[in-house]
Amino acid sequence: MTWLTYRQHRQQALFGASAVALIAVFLLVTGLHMSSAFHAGLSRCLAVRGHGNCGDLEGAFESRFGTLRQLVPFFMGLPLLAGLFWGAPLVARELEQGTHRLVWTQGIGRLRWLSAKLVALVGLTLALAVAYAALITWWIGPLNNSTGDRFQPGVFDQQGVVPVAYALFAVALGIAAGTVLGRTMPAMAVTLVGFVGLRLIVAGLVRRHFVSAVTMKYVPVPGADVTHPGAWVFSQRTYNGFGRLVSPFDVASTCPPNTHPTTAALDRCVRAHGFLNVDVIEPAHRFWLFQGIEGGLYAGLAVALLALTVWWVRRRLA
Amino acid sequence: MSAIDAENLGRRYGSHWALRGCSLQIPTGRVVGLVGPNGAGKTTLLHLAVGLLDPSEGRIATLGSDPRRHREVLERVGFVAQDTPLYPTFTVADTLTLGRRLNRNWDDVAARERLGALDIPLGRRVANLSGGQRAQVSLALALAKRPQLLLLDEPVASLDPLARREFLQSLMDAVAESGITVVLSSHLIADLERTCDFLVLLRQAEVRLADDIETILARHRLLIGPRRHGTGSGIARIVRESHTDKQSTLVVEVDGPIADPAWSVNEIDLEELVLAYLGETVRGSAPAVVPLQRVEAGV
Repeated sequence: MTWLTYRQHRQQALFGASAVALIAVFLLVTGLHMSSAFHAGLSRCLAVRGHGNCGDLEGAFESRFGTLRQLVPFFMGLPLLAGLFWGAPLVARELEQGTHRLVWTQGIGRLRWLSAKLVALVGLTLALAVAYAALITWWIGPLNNSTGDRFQPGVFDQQGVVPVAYALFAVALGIAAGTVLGRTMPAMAVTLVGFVGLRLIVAGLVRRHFVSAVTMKYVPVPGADVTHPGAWVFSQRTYNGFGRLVSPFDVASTCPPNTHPTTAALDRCVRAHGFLNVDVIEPAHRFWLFQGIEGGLYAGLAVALLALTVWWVRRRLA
Repeated sequence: MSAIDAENLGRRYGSHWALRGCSLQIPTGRVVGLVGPNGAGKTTLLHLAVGLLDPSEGRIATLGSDPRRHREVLERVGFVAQDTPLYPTFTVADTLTLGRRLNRNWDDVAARERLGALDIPLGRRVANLSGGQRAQVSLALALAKRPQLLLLDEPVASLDPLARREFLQSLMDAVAESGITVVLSSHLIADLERTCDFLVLLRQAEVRLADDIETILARHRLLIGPRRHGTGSGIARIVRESHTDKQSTLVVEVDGPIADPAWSVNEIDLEELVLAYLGETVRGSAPAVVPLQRVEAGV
């Protein structure tokens, strides 16, 4: 059965592996370049002074490598390609060509036939996705660190464990849709809509509710903005003594730092006017917790879809 | 042991019965023709026999075992599905490797010799084979398992007359060598007449006939005479009747000599008989058959 699976899918596998290898070469070349540029000075400056305070170095790094961020949407599509061109045809093409009737009436059962296919494809996907995820996580590191921002939608999705989970989900969705629908093209359509739809819904609406956000209330200090490096910031608002929303500049114009010589005097002014900052954030240290939850969600769905495939082949196609 | 033993076998798709109430014993060592119009349940019956489908009711045993629960029986069954499915990107040699790797009993030498004798190049891709060659590769694949039972679902339906004849010839040669039981479905009666000695006739999801062809032919007669209803001793059942103004033609099942001298009694050939059964007057399907029912009740 291993031979059959290999003989049947070797071209697809070779094509997919070459595509990933090409991407890996590109990531290695640009990544090494970016990493050496980052460690040449910017990283030390950021470590000492923090984000936003290394003006020229940050600007220079961004102008050299910032455009690489535009590749992100392309990388987001990679798992989808696996689902469309590996997952969807896996069972559907057999059902279309009627070759399942040939294989299922030989000396091995349909369950062994299916498990050989699933193990091969899921295993290959897992191996390539893990390699890719490790590489992209290393690659994207300097881009994360130059802005201190890896929690935002679109950046979060490109690193850590979630790319692996997306790839497994996309492939499982393709396999299950192909098995249930019995035709490759409709299965590809379902995979496309299902994958993109779920990704948008989870990233846009669901992810922020994985763990409830932290609300931080503190008295603002004019001229010294509080930043949350690496956090996912939902809102940063300033209220006056009447509970009305005001601009941060109102604080500085009401209590100008240059007319209040000491920090204590400035603080007294701000407190006297009742200014209060309210920030709603997911703290930076929750990055891996969120990665785990989102990864688990997609991996769990992948397992459920594979279980559906097995059930369908055993029961519904009989 | 029967090659196939079905008892009240039925298979339903939603509310539509593709096969129903099928009780059937196919003895071993026979070449069985499975006939019926499209949609009569031939494919469903064969798929039930090789465990591609589960019965909705009743049971089926293939070579004595339930093919869904004891699927090792399939190692002794060769099956050629409709349209002879093969992997189009595989070469003929790859296709044989597939058979060798998926079956414990595998006669690679015989398969290669068989294809060699037919001038089918082993290195050619299946997609580039003619329909006849594809069918031959499928047959070689099924026979290389050294099966006790060979089931073929419309193997010649899409072949031109020459390829059809060659295919049936290879099939008959293989059967003569090995003595295996063959079930061959077709809607072309002429193909079956030359090859089969046992007939199973399906119509509207039910088995109408299942017997030795000689026995079947001996039991039926074609009666031609002046216009009248078929009554009288010797006529057990009317299969089909047609009337002109003056003359009646009946296909009947007999249970003795035909007493009424007005009938001219003729032997019937297989094709006519099968056509009569396929166009069989079905109870209640049209007003014209009402008198027939009375006749039947009187016998």
